[in-house]
Amino acid sequence: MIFDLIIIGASASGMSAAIYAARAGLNFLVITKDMGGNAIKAGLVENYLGFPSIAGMDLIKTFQEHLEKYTPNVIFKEIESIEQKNTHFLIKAGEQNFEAKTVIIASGADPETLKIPGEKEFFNKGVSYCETCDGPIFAGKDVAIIGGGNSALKAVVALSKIVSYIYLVVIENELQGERVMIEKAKQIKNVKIIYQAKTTDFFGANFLEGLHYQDLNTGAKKEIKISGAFIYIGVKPNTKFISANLDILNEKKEIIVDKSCQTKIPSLFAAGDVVDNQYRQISIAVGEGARAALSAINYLDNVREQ
Amino acid sequence: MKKVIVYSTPTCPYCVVAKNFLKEHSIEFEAKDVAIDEKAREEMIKKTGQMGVPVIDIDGEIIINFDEGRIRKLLDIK
Repeated sequence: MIFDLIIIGASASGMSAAIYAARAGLNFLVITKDMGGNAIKAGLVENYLGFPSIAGMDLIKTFQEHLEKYTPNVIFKEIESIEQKNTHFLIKAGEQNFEAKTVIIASGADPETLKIPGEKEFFNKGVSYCETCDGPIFAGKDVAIIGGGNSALKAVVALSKIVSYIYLVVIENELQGERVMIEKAKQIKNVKIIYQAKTTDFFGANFLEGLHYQDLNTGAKKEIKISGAFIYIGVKPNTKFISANLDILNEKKEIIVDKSCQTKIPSLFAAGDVVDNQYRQISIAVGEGARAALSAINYLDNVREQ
Repeated sequence: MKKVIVYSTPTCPYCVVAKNFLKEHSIEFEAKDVAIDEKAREEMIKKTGQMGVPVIDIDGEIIINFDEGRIRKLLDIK
């Protein structure tokens, strides 16, 4: 069977697209490795309209309940590849092949890594990319948070109530992110912000015991003793399954789309954290999911008329 | 019946997903909160050599993170 549409991913953008696809009566399929992607791990979300303060996990649950009203066809699989075959797409996932006339890629993004010694070795042994998941394990301990943007600041606010002391290690000379979050973080007593500090390595025996950083002002190498380190230095798009042949990625491996969320291939669309968008927000992902779906519906209508 | 233990923290999203999955399939399990239960935390670290959650112990077979495929296989859930 050739579907009208396949949506890859089921976080904010994918679920939003699915609601539009369902309401348009498309014969569509969602293929995803999980429900909720990054948003589910977002901790407290306080900038999504209509929800003054809600855990990312609970917000995703409301999205999911909304979507389930349309009983969408969802398959849990990792995508291996997507290629063009005549007038449609062939998607390989697990040992199965799926075909569709249009595709919306909403595969999101994973946390960016520092790529420094000890980071892989101590992953889940002190090094984490998810404060909502692993934070409580470090109750009463000293930890570092690496990064100076909104996600790092949210982690500071949440962890300050759990851990003993936080070193916020920031490579820039100021904090990025929302003013309200910066002010909140600066008022917390058990946080020391270290600016212009480049984390160089993690060390320990069986578990993480500390990190080294370079003071970018003086060049000096310094040490912090910690049991946990949370890395929030941005995200990298999930586009490994997209071959260079399709020629839709930029140098950061993000999908290039126009204002209709359409790629240079007219029947291929993308939305959310995976696209070349400066802002990675749940609200923006929801909007883009809708936009991509409407564009796909419009494309299918035009093809039918021809 | 297989003995199932879920090691988790209260805020970890995939811990909730894992526990809900087991409940939906009527699988009885023992839940251990490693955030407050130090003994459980030590036990989990001893079993896995790591601190990431959720950890699911199915009759001694250890699953780190919510690996739906492996859980289904070990518990024979279609």
